[in-house]
Amino acid sequence: MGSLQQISFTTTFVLYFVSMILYFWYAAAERQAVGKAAGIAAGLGWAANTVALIARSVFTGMLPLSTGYEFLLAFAWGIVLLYLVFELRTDIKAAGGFVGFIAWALLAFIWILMPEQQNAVAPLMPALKSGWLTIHVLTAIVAYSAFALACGLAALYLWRLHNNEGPAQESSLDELIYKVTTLGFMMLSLTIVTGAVWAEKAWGSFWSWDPKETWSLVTWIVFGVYLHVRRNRGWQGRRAAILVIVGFLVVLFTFFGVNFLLPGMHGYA
Amino acid sequence: MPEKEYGTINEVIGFFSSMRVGLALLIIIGAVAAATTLFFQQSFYHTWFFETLLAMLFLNMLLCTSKRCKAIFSSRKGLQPGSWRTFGLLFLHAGFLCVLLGGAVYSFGGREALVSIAKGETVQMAQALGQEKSFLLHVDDFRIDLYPDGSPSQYTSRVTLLEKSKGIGTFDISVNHPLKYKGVTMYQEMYGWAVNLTFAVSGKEGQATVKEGEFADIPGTDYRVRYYRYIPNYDPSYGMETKSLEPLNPRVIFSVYEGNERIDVGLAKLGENVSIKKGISFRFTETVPLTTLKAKTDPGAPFVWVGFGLLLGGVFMALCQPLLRGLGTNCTGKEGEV
Repeated sequence: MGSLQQISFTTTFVLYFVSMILYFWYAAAERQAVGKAAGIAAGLGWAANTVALIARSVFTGMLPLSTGYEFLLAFAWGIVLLYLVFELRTDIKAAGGFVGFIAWALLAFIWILMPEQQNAVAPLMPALKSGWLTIHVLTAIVAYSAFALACGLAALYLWRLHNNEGPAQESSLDELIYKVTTLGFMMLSLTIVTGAVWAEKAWGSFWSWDPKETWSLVTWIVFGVYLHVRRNRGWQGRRAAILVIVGFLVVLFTFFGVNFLLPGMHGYA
Repeated sequence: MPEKEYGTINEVIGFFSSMRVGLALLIIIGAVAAATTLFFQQSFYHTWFFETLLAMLFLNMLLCTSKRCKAIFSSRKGLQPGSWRTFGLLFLHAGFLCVLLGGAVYSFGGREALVSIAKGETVQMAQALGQEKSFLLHVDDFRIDLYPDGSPSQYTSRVTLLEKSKGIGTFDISVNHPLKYKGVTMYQEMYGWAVNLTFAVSGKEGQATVKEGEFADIPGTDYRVRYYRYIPNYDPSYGMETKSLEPLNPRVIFSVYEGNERIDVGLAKLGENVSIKKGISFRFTETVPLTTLKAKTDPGAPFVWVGFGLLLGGVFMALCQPLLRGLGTNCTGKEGEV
């Protein structure tokens, strides 16, 4: 089973890379056939990613939600799934390169820095043995994926603005960024609340200012501020897009920075 | 003149209840909290400075939200389109306030204590929390379940609760499964081992039980034995940590004091005789499982639970609407401002 895990991982990695290149090509040249091919590569890559997750699950006998490696694999899966749903519903393909880059970079991180984790199985420590694990991590994956998609869209927005396509044309893109961020904010709220409820059961306190908790709160504040200033202070367009990208960088720090630099009670990576 | 003073006060309140100040406070709190994870000690979150920031945010949101509340109820006669969003935002903010309030109630009225209890011991649980109403907790057993690879899978304390020497029942407390009785919640927090030791002075034997860090006096002498820690599976390459939880190569770390002066430090096997001086010796005979429970009373918890409910309900009410209004199809532009 270990080898199926590796084969599907490599396939995902290659297909995400190919689709990312095709999407950028599409965005630059606006050739419909290229856009279609990019979408197919992304779809196949996502299917391979699904196989990788299933293979991992069979390998460990648990849902693939407990180690840093599993989280990244599921995070990339969530990003591409959300992106494909978005593309099908909006027919906007130009953001595929930016979003695909994020998903691909997450896998590159696994490939470069934690390849040994693919073959590692560690049983769950007592604190993780809880029904809350699944819902807490799943909501985090949806939240993070939504913020990644919003970040990719914001990058597209800024790129278009830079190419003088005019902010007026982009107001619907700005609106879409807002909606995707909104989804992320809802799910992050759920992640934090389920985490607090779980922490109360496992550690006897809702909130301990553990670095992971603190940085998830910082993420929540950044996007909370975004929602406020966008609606009430007229922050739309460029400034709002920058704030969304900053928010996603905070998300990345909440995962990477905290797991690798600031270990606390969440040190499972 | 008083009228003018009144006006100034109102202006100050008006300014302090503005969203602008609330957002500024949120940003400051976020920045300070983030900086603390990088540069300061965890205890910084409990300094007056940080707590004042949280209190100011609470006050600001309380004023801001009640202002909004008043505006909503004075202008609306019935539910209108957009009401979901309006009430959702209200619930969300009220929920956040409730959570903050619950935290404040806990920090003023809540109590928390760690209690280490060896197997077979009984403690006054409520006394540990400085309360009057009391019940007794007897530890029947403590066990560590292991996975096949030797790593821990669960820590379980089996306890019997007694009130006025009447048994209430026997319960298991394990990680993720706390026990709640009469407002006191008990969590499985840590574990360890107490040890029994037998000492011999000129052929006469005596016994004692000690927990980690405790001393046992050897009667009739100036000597004391201090028990530091029990290592179930000793391996020099792991230092003072155990290689695994299986008792494959057990050792006890101890030190010997003469008066207040430490004269020896060592490792002993169970049953191994350690001689201090001619005619004075001791040996560790057996280990006794020991559990550390965290006992907590939290009068703020109901506020937190209500807060979580309002917060999540509010978030979904407020944000589902713009989300459902179509990813993509065609965006009709801005919704009505709230």
